[in-house]
Amino acid sequence: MTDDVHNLLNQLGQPTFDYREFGGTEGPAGYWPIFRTVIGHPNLARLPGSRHNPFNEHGRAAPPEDTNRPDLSPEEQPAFVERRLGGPGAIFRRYRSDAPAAADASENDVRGLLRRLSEGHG
Amino acid sequence: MAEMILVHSPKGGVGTTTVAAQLALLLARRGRQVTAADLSGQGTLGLCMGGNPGRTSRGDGSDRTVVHSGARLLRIDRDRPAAQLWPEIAAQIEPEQVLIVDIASSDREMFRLLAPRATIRLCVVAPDPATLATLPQALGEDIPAPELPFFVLNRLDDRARIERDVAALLRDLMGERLIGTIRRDEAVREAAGMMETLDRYAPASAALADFEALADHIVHSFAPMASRGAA
Repeated sequence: MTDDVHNLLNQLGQPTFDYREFGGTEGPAGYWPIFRTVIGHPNLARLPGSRHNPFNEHGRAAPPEDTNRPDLSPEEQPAFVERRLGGPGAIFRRYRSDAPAAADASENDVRGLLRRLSEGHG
Repeated sequence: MAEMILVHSPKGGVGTTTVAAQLALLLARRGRQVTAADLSGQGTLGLCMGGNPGRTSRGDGSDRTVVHSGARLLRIDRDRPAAQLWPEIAAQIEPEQVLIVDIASSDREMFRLLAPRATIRLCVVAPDPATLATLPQALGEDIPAPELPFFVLNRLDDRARIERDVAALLRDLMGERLIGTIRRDEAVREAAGMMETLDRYAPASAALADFEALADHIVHSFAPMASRGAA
């Protein structure tokens, strides 16, 4: 239990309160295009971790990551790339240029459901 | 000669003044004789230390010092060249004191003057792409300082994916030069709004616990700071 949680529970008079620490935020770091731009700058070679950071093995801009996974099905590939590269989450995916048209996406939303219901009962 | 902690950042708005204020208060509480010098040109260091930003001891502006929770605050108008201003400031600091200086990110003149004189250069960064983009510039400064700065990652909200990823990258890159991570905490701004110190307003604050850890690290890891006991 971290100090701040311990102090807070004490202040609330609940020192025996059940407490669970979630480890979900400690997953592998995602990759964003700006990382490559910044890490490729020679000034960063002064930093102690510049030689062994996962994005820049030799003090140079890292090559594009290999996101090709032939062992994954076409349906699994986009999810893998999204997870590997970081970048916007699912909620923003519809804004990408390769996102399906809004009419297709709406098939899964409430409006699409209502339309299908009305068509079914019309 | 007083030991100087220069708190600066390559980018404005990342909480440099907050870090300087908390260090001043927490080092004072650890028995150090602390003077905090507000060279930011904004006069907000006092507010972050739990005081009235316009208040001085006499109230007429003739005395530019005020004491907040054991730390002395020195408000200085940044109205002259750094080379003229600095000797006047240095003359007001006792040799056994710890001097914490808060400067504006845009004040390259003062930075170049003070960086070589500082015992600890503390560069405050935030976990966002804009701060990341300024890092090469911060590390490319042509100053006669033999060492890299130490870094503090401020206002980290690890619920946000981009912040989590930038923070992970910075930890990788900075290694042992990253000496503190401060979690984003609304209590910091609320304490300033109440014109109270953070420890008085929100003693269970997550950010306060992080600032305490940073102050402990500085006291225990930097020999000149460890030997600066109260007189």
